[in-house]
Amino acid sequence: MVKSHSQMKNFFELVRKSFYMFIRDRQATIMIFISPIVFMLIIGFVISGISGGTTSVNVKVAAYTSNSSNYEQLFKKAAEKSGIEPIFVKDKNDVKKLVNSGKVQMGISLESSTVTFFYNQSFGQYNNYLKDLQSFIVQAIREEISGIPMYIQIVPNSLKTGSSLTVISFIVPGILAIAIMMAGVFGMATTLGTYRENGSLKRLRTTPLNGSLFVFSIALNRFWSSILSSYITVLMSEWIFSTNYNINWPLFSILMASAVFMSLGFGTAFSVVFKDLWTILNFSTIVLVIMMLFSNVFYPFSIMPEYMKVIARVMPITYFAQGLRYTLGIAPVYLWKFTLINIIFAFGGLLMIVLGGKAIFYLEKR
Amino acid sequence: MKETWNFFKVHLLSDLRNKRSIFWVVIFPILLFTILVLTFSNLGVKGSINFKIILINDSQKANGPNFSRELVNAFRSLSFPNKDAIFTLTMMKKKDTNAAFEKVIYSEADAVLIIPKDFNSAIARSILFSKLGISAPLVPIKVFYVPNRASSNLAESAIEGTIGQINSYLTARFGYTLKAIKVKSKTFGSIMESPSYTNFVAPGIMVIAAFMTGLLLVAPKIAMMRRYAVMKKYASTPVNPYSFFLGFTASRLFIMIIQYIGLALFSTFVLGAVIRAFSWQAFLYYLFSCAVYAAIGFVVGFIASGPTSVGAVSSLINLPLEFLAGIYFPLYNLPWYINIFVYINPLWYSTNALRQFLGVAMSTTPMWMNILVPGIWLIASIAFSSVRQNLEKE
Amino acid sequence: MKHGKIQKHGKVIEVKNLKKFYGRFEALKGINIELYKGEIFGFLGPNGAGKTTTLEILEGLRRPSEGEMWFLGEKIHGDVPPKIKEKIGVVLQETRFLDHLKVKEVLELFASFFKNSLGVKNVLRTVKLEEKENTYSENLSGGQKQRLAIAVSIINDPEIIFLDEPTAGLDPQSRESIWNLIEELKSYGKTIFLTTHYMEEAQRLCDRVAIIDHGQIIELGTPAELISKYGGKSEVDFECSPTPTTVALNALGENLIISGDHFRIMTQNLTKTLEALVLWSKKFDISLTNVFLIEPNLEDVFLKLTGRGLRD
Repeated sequence: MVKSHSQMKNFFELVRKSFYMFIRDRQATIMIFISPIVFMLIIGFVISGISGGTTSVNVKVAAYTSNSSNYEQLFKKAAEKSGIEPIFVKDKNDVKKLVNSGKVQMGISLESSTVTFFYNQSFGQYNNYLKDLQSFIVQAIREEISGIPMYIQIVPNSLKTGSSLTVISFIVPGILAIAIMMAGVFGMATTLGTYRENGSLKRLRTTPLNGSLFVFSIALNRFWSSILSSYITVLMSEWIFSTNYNINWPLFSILMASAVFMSLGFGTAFSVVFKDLWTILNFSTIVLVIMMLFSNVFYPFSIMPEYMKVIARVMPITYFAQGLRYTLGIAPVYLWKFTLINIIFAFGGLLMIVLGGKAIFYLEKR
Repeated sequence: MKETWNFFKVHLLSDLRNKRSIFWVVIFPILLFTILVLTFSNLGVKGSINFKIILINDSQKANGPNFSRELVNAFRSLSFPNKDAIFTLTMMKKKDTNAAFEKVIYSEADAVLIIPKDFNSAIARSILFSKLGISAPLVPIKVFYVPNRASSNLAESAIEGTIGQINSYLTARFGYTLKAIKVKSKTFGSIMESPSYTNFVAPGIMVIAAFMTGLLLVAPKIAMMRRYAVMKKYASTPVNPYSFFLGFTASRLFIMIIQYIGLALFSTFVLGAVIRAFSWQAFLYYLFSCAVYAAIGFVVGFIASGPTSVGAVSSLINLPLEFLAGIYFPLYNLPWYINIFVYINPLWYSTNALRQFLGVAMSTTPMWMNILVPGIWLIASIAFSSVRQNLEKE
Repeated sequence: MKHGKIQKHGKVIEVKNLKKFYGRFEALKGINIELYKGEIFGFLGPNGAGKTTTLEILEGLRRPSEGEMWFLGEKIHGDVPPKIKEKIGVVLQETRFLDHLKVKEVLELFASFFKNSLGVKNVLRTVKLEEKENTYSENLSGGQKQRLAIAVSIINDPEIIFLDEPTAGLDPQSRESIWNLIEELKSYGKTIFLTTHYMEEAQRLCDRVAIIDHGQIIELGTPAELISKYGGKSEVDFECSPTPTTVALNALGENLIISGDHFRIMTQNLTKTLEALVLWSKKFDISLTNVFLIEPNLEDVFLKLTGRGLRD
């Protein structure tokens, strides 16, 4: 009873079995479907929390004025100029309470000709930014008190009409990019690392199976699931953070597809270079931490020191996030650039998967 | 006693000889620390901030002073290559306005500033009016930017701030005086004057290091010993089970103490942190935290199905826990359902307490809570582990 | 070689002067082997002798440092080509199949790698795992896992099967069932290359064995040939009552060894000695108890050849 199989059927079988292995592996599915959401929720809230909440870009200030009606008006005007949101309190002690409890970022009391600023030390580095703001506020108050005329006024004009965005909307694409990369890199690296450690790869090496095909079949299952996961994550963000993106679904899908391929490619490459599973995990962690911090995912290029800019420019995540912002309708990117990003991601990823698959089987031979 | 010592020695050596342990215990915290400091110490500080702005001067010459030139010069003085420049200025012609806009839209510049045609005459008129006591309309300068892009948004604010300065410069020039006001500032919970990011993050790094040791040097070992029945093997000998737990735990604590000393020295002498690294209170609290994490490590070791799943679980829970401990960024304005996790997160209390004891900032939570909540974790973990251990005998 | 021309025609594997270096260490010092169609060839040696290295070179898992190989009359240059891989089946020393796959799915997967397939059902029947077809491979017992490994190795209807210590670490019952399975495979005309350090396994299954030590084949032949060449004398062990008199003992001849109540006769001819012993017991009216016949085995051969035991 000997029957023949064609090459195509052979590949289909491989993909089907990888599919079973993947969906029955609770760890892998959690990694792909749950971790991006958890990651986005936590980091999203923490980072948007300190930089002004989920509603708008501003700094909340507890304000106390001795001469309530007059100074309150005056302060409101000054606040408008310096972009802060005052919460007026009746008692000076309430300022202290609000600042200490972390419900506002800073406190101000305005009495006759004295302005006192209150900070919370546990805000650490963030206080430095607040202190920069202090001089703006003082300046605004001084102008109001002195009643001096203004000559020049800045009239801001938005160059891109679209839904106005909140802090969290800035951050979500970055977090999404990291979460999807993380799931791709870790997922691929742990799977291949485990197969090598338990001898499965060695066994497969003795069959006529092509290494690239095998790794590709694993990648394919991670691929559709990562794309699905990215949809869920972005919809979750819309729902929880009310981000109101103007999502271009076809372009979003294209970018996700190429970026997921790249992540899976990196995962494959890492597991080729490093022999044991733990080293792979360690290395991936370090790379991801560096990617997260040394890129323009959480903060723009314009506030980075020179060496960070250099690193950020070579990080693929920078371009992934940039592309994502484009497909989510946040910031435009030249079409040629977007196309180039996708081509490099997709081909780079594919190349790493195919060559990595070859190499990983080849390396089983000693 | 001798057995305890032997267990201590054996487990200590096995980790010192293990590259993987060394990585997580020594290299990872130091690397993370360095990366964080390199990033955040220089982020947004003077010299790092630089916005690319395009200035289009469309103003026509008028009789009298050339205000627009003064304005351009004011921006020039704030631009590269001057010291403390916050802008990189590009001058463009009126006819290239659209090209300038495109540059901003496609991230090649951050904002476009247009000085209008009648700027000089408008300012002159404005000054005249105000001298006569009539309120004059403000002279508008249009700034074009992309509000959805952080750097563009920041650039716009920076320009507004600059205009404020220019305004007061002008008012001073025309004989107005600003009322003097006294400015005071007070920082609640301050121990040291504005701590650098290095100081701010150092206590958290110590907490992470101890937590990593608790998680990765306890849990996988327990899981492995259960899988390969090493525990059962010990139980079949006359050795007192407590001497194993004592020796094993002591070896973990020993590693954590080395971490503390290492990180204290590294942060003080390499990264230049100014913390009270060798305060006894800090050290005792650190030891307490270590005990808590070791106990949690036991629990994870008992729950986990095998050593690899511990690795996966820990890489998954690590980052959220650290973020929700306010180690990297202060916690502020979180929704209640996230706050619940903050309030039960032992890492948060440890970070708060250590910040105070190391002389960085007063703890945001009362000290009794910093002891109570991790204490509950400790007791619950010990209770859970011993119940599990007894159940496995049956 | 003793084998005649007919067998030479059925040459399935030929290896000449196979060498393998790990740095300066010479793991294989020039191995020469020929395998013939339908035979079970045993590779016998202690741990670290070079068994697995040799096998893995043939399986394409290691690269030889020197030497030549022919598979089914075709010379192998570099890697073992897919064409040859189609015709071999492999059971590695320790295989964990891919997790989260059921037994039948593992087989379906491996079947898809080859042009030929015997069919999952057939193979499951052969290895007697029909009832386990829906069990996850990681949940099988040790013996069942090994049977699955064998099932996987024969799914492509291979001509040559490599078994690396197929029964290591198994209980006697599982071992017996694996042995039966291997014998069944032989009955289908498969050529089997087997490594082991269990001499009873080699003795029961192998048509020919090669004894390897320190990377060299030190002897090659059928088990019977080797035993008769190196095995030395057989033994008859017994106890008896009542205690025989000196006269009776002298009648047993000079090959008798006495230790307390225990007697042992060393002999070249077991049948003759047994006949004599029965006659002796009648003659002196002595009843024999606890009679054991001990024949020389491959372990003795090995001990003689290398001066140490197989499992040292």
